Formats: sequence, structure tokens, C-alpha cells
Amino acid sequence: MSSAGSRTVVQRTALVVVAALVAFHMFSTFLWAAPTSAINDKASPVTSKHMYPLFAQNWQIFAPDPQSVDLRVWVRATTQDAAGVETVSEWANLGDVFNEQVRHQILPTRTWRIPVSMNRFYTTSYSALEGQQQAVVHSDHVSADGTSGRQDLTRALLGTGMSVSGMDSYLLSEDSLYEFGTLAAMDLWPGSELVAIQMSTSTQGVVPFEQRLMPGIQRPEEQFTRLGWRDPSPVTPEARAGFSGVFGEWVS
Amino acid sequence: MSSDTGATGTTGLWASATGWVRSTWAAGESWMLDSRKASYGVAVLRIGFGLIIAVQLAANWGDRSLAWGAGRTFAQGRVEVDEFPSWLDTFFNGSAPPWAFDLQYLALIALSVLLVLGWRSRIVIPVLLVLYIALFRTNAYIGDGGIQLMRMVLLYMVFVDTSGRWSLDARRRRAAEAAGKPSPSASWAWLATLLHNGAVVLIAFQIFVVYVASAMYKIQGGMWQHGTAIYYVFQLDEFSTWPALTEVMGRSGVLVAILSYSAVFVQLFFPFLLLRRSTRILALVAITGMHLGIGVLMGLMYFSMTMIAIDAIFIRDVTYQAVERRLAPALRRGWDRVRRRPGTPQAAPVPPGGDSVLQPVGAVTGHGSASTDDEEGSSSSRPPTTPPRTTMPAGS
Repeated sequence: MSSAGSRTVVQRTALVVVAALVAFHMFSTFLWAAPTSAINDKASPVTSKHMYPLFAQNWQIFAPDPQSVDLRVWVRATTQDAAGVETVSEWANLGDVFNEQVRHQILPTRTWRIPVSMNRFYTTSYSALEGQQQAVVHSDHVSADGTSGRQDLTRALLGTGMSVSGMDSYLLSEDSLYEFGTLAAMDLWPGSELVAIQMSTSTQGVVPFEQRLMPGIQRPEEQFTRLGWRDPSPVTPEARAGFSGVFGEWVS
Repeated sequence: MSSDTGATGTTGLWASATGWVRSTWAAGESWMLDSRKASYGVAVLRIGFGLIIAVQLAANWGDRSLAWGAGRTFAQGRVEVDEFPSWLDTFFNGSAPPWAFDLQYLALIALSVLLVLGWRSRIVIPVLLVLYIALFRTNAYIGDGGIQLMRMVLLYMVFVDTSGRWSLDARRRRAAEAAGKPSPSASWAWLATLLHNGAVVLIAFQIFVVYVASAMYKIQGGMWQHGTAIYYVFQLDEFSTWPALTEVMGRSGVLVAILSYSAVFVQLFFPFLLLRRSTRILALVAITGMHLGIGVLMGLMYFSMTMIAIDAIFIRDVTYQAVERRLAPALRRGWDRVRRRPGTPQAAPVPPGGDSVLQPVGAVTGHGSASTDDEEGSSSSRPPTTPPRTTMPAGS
């Protein structure tokens, strides 16, 4: 047990170093969590580098107001049966399938958040598109061979004057959305060949608080962002097995 | 802090100022170097984190291949552009065969069980942290604040002596000490204490940031101001694990307002309520209730349990010791019954507060909060072996 007088130089130096590191980390955490400010502008080149990615955090939870719309992801498919007859399926709400798995669960599986997160991630990149680019993604890009539709899409996007990096960052979310839809469609409409996939995101508001007790009150209309038809995403047998082993069980 | 008047006024003021600085510095040194703070609280944190990881991985066992395994290819694009070091791809690699993935998944469960038991925690925590980051980064669509928070706190825990209490490590250390074997790292115990306390401060600060930042963002919103926010949260598909129950609760405007307001205020004032014992009890009970409510009603149990486990560091060692004294005889009897050796009558009863002498530093006077000890610096003159206080010191 050392008393105040008996601390060594090494101990005191270590204390100062640790205290400085702790203070710097607390300062960086504060700036990361706080809104922008003049302090932030000056310090963030250093503090942000320290925080990202290990200490990245966002505590804007249900704030300033909680989200008051449901976010959904929908898929439908054109399929071809053995006789070569093409059918367009009904729209399927993927969020419902996932939500159903956690109903009345105290310890839910973590997968249930995927459709909502996917809607958020896609909507963020979709919102960054300009009007002409949005028109491109709303239109169909399918090919007879089932593989060159994506080239058609990229050509059309670049044709709007979009930069390659802007397009890549958009396609990161669209590819993810359509691959998710393709994998789901294979389980939703099994036994026939997928010819094309169409995805849609949607939002639907809830009944406002003031009107919640009104008899017969209905929720506002659901708003859809319907994208175009695409070729099914390329899927490896391993990915198909991994996805279907779970999702296929839910929808069968 | 009085100062003389008259001709010697300036000198007196100077003397008392330097005296104050010196005693504050001494108190700070003592706080950081003389005992490991929240020694029981961090043990509860360790046990809690281990259980949370083990339980959620077990609950996700059926979904693992879609969530993080070979079926997660739809999320792979985001892994390739994230900022984590690419060597993490070695673990839970999407193109690895399913058996290899399952082995790593089971290894992570095994590590979290070892964390609960407190077996070689200094080694287990860093390894577990790497696998934890590697697993959760593979699917960015499955992410919430709880995953980020646990990642950060696990990183702080690398520097914390989490197995000083209630662990296999502690038992092994006690046995070695009883056998007269000196610890090879005894001369560096002060450094371990320093790092422990620095990291405990960071854990406390991190949770304060979570609560205060989220409350300050909330008070800007009209729904929180008018006490209707919880109603809207209850309406969403995303948080409707118990739709019939939240539907009924949402009908009562008064209940919704009480829940909305108390959620904001308990978070906003949390750090300040910790400063006094009476308000600290209120704060911890209220915030634990809030987390349990969110966890059950909104399907956010892992996030909520993560927060509760971290809040455990704010309960003082003396409280945990009192609980231990009360529960230990019953636990021992139960353990003896399990091991079928009823003939051992209290072979080693826990002496009240007695096991603190087995620690390299007297940890019994520590309190978990980041608040400073007595501001007058009197704690530095108190011998570290002071018996546990039952009330907070006057200065805190």
C-alpha cells in the first residue's frame, strides 16, 4: 500500500499518461455523440479518426421524435413453369415473414430487424438520386439471357451523367435489396424457375395519437416506392442453402 | 478554504490555493492507484455480458446461417466497404464451409461461458472481443446500439480486472496465496489498478453519454414534449412483439404520458441522481424498470440487458458484499448438496468483508461512479484498510 508520499516517478508518470488518454477519449466520445459545433469543426479531424470505426455510436434513439411510419420491403417474381408458362406472383411483404418469427418472444432472434434496416439503407441511397436517376431505377432492366440486365441499368445510370462512385454507392444498396428478394423469392415460389424480380419499399403512417380512440379509424394509405423489374441476382448454391435453411422453413 | 485578510491576505490565499491543489491531486492519485473501483460491479458486468452473448447466440442458433453464415450474401457488399480491418474476414468468412462457421459460432458461445465463469479473463476478453466484432460486422442489417455499446465496453474491459470477485480466477488466486506462492506480477499490481480505474471511468462516462445524449435529442421532439412518443413506438410493426398488450397500453393517454416523460427524465438526470445514495437507488430502480419494459414490450431484450449489466457498476461494493454475506450460506448449502458432501460444515464461511484482505489492494471502499472521492482529500489520509462504509462519504 503506497501512501501519497511514496509514489515513484514511474507511477506518477503512468498516472498522468493514463489520465490524459482517458480525458482525450472522453472528449472524443462527447464530440462524436454531440451535434456539430465550432469545437467539433476544429477537433474532429483528430477525434473522429480516433473514434471510427470501433467507437462509432449514435444515440439519437427515437429522437427527436420516434419514427411514426412502418417501413416495409416487398417482393414479387415472374416465374416460369416446366411447360414454359410465365406467371407474375402476388406481392409478398418480407417484413411480415420476419416479424412473425418474434411475436410473443422474450428472447427474439436478431434476424427480424433485417427488412426494416434494409428499407432504411435502400431509402437513404434512393433519396440521394436525382429525378432522372430515380426514373431509371423505376424502369425495368431485364434481359433475355437473364444476366445482362444489370449492364443495361449501369449504362442507363451513367447516361444520366451520374459519377461512377455515385452509381457504385447506389448499386451497393440496390444489389443488396434484389439479392435479398431473389433469395426470398426462391423459397416463396418454389418449384418454378425465376425469370425476373421486382422490389418495392413502402411506408405506412400510424393513426395519430389524438385520433386513436375514434371508432373505425383507419391508418393512412401505404406509400410505395416501386422499383423496376430486374434479372434475378446471381446466387451460389451455398448462399441458397444457407438462406433457405432458415427462410424456407418459415414460409413452407 | 478560508483566507486571511489584511497584509498577509495574498500569501494566505496563495497558500490555501496550493494546499487545495495538493490535496486534490493526492486524492486523485489515491483514487486511481490505491484500490480497484467497483470490483464487484465489474464482476457483475462480466457475468452479465457473458450471459447476454451466450443466450442471444443460442436463441439465434436456428437462424445463424441466414443471419451471419453462408446465407448472408445479401449483406456482404456492406462488409467489403466497411472500415474494419480486413483481417477480421478470417473469422466467420461467408465462403467458409458451414461446419467451419458452426465451429467458430460454438467457440464464441464457449468463450462467453468462460467469461461468465471468470476463467482467465485477461486472455478470454480480448479473444472474445475479436470474434464478437468479426461476427456482428458480417451483417450490418442486424445491428443496434446494444451491439455497438457492448463492443466498446468489452474493449474497455480488456483493461479492467473483471475477475477479481466471483470468478474462477479469484479462486485460483486465493488458493495460490494460501499456498504461499507469490504472484509473479505482484510488483506491477499498481499498474493494473491504474488501468482498471481508468477503464472503469470510461465505462461510466460511456453510459452517461448514452443516457444524456439520447435524452437531449428527445427533448427537442414534440412527441416527447407532449408525452405521446411511446404511443407511436408501440404502433410500429418493428416493435410489436406483444401487439395486444401495447395496443391496450396505448389507449391510455395518461399512461403513455407517464411512460414517455419518465423515460426522458430518468435518462437526462441519471448521472446526477447517482451522486447521493437515496437518489441513486431511485435512479437504478427506475432505469432498470425502463430497460425491462423496453426489452419485453419492444423485443429489444439484448440491448436492454446490456444496459442493465453496465449499470451494475454503479452499485457499491459494500452492497454486493452485504448480498454475498446473506446469500453465501444458502449457496454453499446448495452447492454441498449438489456435490453430495453434507458432512462439511461451513468449511470456509465468508468472513464479513474479510476476503478483501486477499486482494492486492483494498477495494472495499470503492464506489463505482465516476464521481471523485472526498473533495477535501481526506481519503488519502485514511488507511486503505478502512472497513466498508455503509453510507456515502459527505463529500460525494
